[in-house]
Amino acid sequence: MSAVLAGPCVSVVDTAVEVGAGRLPAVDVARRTLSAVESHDAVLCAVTDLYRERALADAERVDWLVGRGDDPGSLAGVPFAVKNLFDVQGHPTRAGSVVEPDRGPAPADATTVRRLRDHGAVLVAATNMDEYAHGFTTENSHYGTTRNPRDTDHLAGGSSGGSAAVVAAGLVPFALGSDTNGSIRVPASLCGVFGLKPTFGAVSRAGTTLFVTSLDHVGPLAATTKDLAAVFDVLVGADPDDPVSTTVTAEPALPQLERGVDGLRLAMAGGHFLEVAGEEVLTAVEAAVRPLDVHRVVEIAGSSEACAASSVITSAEAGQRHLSRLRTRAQDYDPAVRPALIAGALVPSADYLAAQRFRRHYRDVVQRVFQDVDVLVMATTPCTAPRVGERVMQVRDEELSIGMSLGLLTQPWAFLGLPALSIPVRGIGHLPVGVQLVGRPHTEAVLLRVARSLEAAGSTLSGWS
Amino acid sequence: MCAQTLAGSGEELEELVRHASAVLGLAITEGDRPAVVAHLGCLRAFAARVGDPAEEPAMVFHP
Repeated sequence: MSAVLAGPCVSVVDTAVEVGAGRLPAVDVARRTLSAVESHDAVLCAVTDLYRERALADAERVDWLVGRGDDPGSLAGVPFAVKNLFDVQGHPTRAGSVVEPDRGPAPADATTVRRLRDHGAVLVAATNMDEYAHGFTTENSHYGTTRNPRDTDHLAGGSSGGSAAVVAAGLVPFALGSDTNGSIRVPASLCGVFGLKPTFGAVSRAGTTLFVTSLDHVGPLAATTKDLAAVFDVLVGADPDDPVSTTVTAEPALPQLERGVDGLRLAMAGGHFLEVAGEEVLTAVEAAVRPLDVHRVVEIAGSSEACAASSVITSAEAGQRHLSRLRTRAQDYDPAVRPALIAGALVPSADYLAAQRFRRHYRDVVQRVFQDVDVLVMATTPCTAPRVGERVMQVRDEELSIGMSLGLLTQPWAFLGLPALSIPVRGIGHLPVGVQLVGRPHTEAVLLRVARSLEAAGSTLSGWS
Repeated sequence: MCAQTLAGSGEELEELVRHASAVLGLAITEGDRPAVVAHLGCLRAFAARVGDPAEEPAMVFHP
């Protein structure tokens, strides 16, 4: 076993305070971050692009604003990374692939990248991912396999594996990922960081390479609840450039973070959510959430079918999205992804439409559950990080395909577009476990309050110790 | 589940892959064909589990 920890990294909030007060030059932060990435990424394989010139120029601008006495923004000088499906002005967007060699430099930043920059954050790197976000392992035949910083013999998870790894290693205090079936929460769970999949439409997807239009979300990963809340508050908001963007205004999460859990009705998710999680994982989850005093268990009928329906929608939409390139450049795809995309393109429309109809049915079931529950609690992944190269995982004497099964606990919530947060807790041996919180639409602030309560009780793996 | 489905309907799946890929203009290599058939078998098994609910579809879904 070997771990990779560059830090301790300076948190989002502390960096912004020190830079904003003129006590810490943003340029120094940027240089140190770039140096740390260069020193450690050879082992991790988490970074695909380093934006040295842009990072130093952005940091100099922040220092200039501070020097003039202007407000440099709530994320002044905070370095961050993005999964390499976010557009970065002047650079081609890889999306984990080499299928589109003629794709020119992006004409503009993705909306989320622009918002972060407008608030003073400094983009330093783009991170590795499964090709076109298709997968849960970040084993990419073009850009390599991202290693788990907690133990480099193990996978980081995916598809936002590079983003989870750079945060867990302390290279940057936060990163952005995307989540279609669990691709923020799964790597967050396996690497031991916080990962938030916001409500569908709450955070703009404009300027990202989409995988599945009906299910894609983007969101942040960070090492503390405070950092996650600070970043979420900048990201959230309507965007006319994103056709699925909502106009509902979420309440800022950071000011509410210390409000505690009094008055909130919490329940463990039963049935499917207990059946597909390993016993050791459930033991770790139960121990971690003990301070919350959750005694109620609720069954959510149809959750297994929701995973099945989500897989059908995912495959059919992804297959259609890639159909023209599958006709002309099929051999340029990752060999692990190509057959799945082709199969998706062949899914009969009747199967796809039935899956979309089931989505409405399952939403009605879950809405009834949320009539007298505020937050559902469950594990994020069925197991801890599998070893690199493993293809099956053992859960309750059953062998499950890692590629198909790491998302069994996360899929239903992206399927419904509900906010879901993975919290890192002590797991089995040296590998962490994720506790997943799920709430009603636009209740990210509530989920972060619950997470903060667990963090304050010492139940989480926060920071970079 | 997927394996059981494949065992019962392998020829049907092979035929679906042959027919649909021809209609869509997709050339599938012999190396990829078994994996494509296996993936499609899983997806059809998933669809069978979902059934055919009566609700109207929610194509673009705001919660």
